Amino acid sequence: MIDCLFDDDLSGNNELEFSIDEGTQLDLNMVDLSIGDMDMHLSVHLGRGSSCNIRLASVCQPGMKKVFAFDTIHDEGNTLSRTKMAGINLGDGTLRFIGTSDVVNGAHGSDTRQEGRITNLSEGSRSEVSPALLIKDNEVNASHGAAVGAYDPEAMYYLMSRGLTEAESRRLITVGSLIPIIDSLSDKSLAAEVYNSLEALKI
Amino acid sequence: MEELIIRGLSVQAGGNQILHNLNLTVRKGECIALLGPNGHGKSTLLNVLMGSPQYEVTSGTITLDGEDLLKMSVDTRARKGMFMAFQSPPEVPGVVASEFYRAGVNARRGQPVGAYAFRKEMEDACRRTGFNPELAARNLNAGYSGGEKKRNEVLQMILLQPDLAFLDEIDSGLDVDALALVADAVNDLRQKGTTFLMISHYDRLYKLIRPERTAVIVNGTIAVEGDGSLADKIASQGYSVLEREYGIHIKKEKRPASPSCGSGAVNIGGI
Repeated sequence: MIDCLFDDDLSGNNELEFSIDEGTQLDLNMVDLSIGDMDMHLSVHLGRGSSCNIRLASVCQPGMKKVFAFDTIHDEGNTLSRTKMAGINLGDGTLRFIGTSDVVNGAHGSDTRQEGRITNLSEGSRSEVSPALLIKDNEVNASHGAAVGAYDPEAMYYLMSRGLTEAESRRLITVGSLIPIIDSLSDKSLAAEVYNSLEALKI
Repeated sequence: MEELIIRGLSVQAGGNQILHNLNLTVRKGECIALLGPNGHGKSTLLNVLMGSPQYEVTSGTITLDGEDLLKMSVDTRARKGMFMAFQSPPEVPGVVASEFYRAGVNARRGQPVGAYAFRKEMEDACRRTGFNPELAARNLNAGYSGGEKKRNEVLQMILLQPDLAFLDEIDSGLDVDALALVADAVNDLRQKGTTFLMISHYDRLYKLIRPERTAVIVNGTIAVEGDGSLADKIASQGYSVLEREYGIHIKKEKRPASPSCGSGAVNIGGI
């Protein structure tokens, strides 16, 4: 289990590579609150019977450009990958989630899923969620889900119908989209630090 | 709330005219059964009253105790004591149910409720609705069954103690025991003076609640009003009674299903 909090300026290319040995599991939880551009490329190679859970919560401030490209490479059979990315694009910045699940020839019995969601808070927000599944063997489970948009108007209506103001409702829904990822941090003091940072965000 | 007056209300959504020149007056303490065939505008009316952004009021007025309701935001309406039990409450990830309830109670009362006092109220409301308290610690409506969502709506109604409550098919998907709990909660609030406007699929709810008025929406307007016995009559004879006795022609539903058009069959018999 690895927890990461990015809260400094990490401008420039960031390459991360993991190789997961036979029968082991990687839990990688990342929260990105960095002020500055970001270009991160993560590759995870999965050996026989191994698995990985990759989670990212990212906040993109106005004027920034953030790109997260996450590749899970199923090098051998009976491997499992789960990738979950959630983001908030606060202003006129660019936030891109690019995911690739690569199941190579011979990696049968593998299972992969990618999920990505970005909430745009401004008309000028430029966001992209782009999952790709490259499947080169049979007997593979592969799926993806992608969503980009403003906060759900139906949820806004519901919360406001109980007396919460528009601003309170928008904050709850927006921050709420990141919470399942923050809650999976194993270091609870780190999670508390992230909650405090989110409280201070202007939404 | 003393009086809600709807005059000449016309409403459209997505280019479809749904309500036409609808008139209805609701007085304090009344319990009104809102009936009508599928797709004729019952859910639309309740959602317009609560302030749903999906609908556009093209003409007419709605006043609540003399104030222009259509100028009020959804949350202002809630703080004035209006409440809507949703037909299909949305799932809201990341929002913990009990914290949301407490925020609503604080908004309704205009002052923060203490943690201990709120916990006691929650326990009581859970007991009265048969709602599993463990679900209140989870994300709002996320992974709830259909019945749990309905109990959750009634639980919020008990906590918020509204003056004017709209129930949109609160009984659909509930078993007989849950239905009795819902009826008890409604009847308790009626004794305290809450006004109700309710849509139901089934006359079994009306048998437990006994509304004193019935309003029937046909072709987007209130076509017939009567006392509680009108709901019973429609339940036993179907909507064809409107054609036979009142000369009302019911247009077949032509438009595609609107975002929240409900259903309006009444009689399932049996109970």
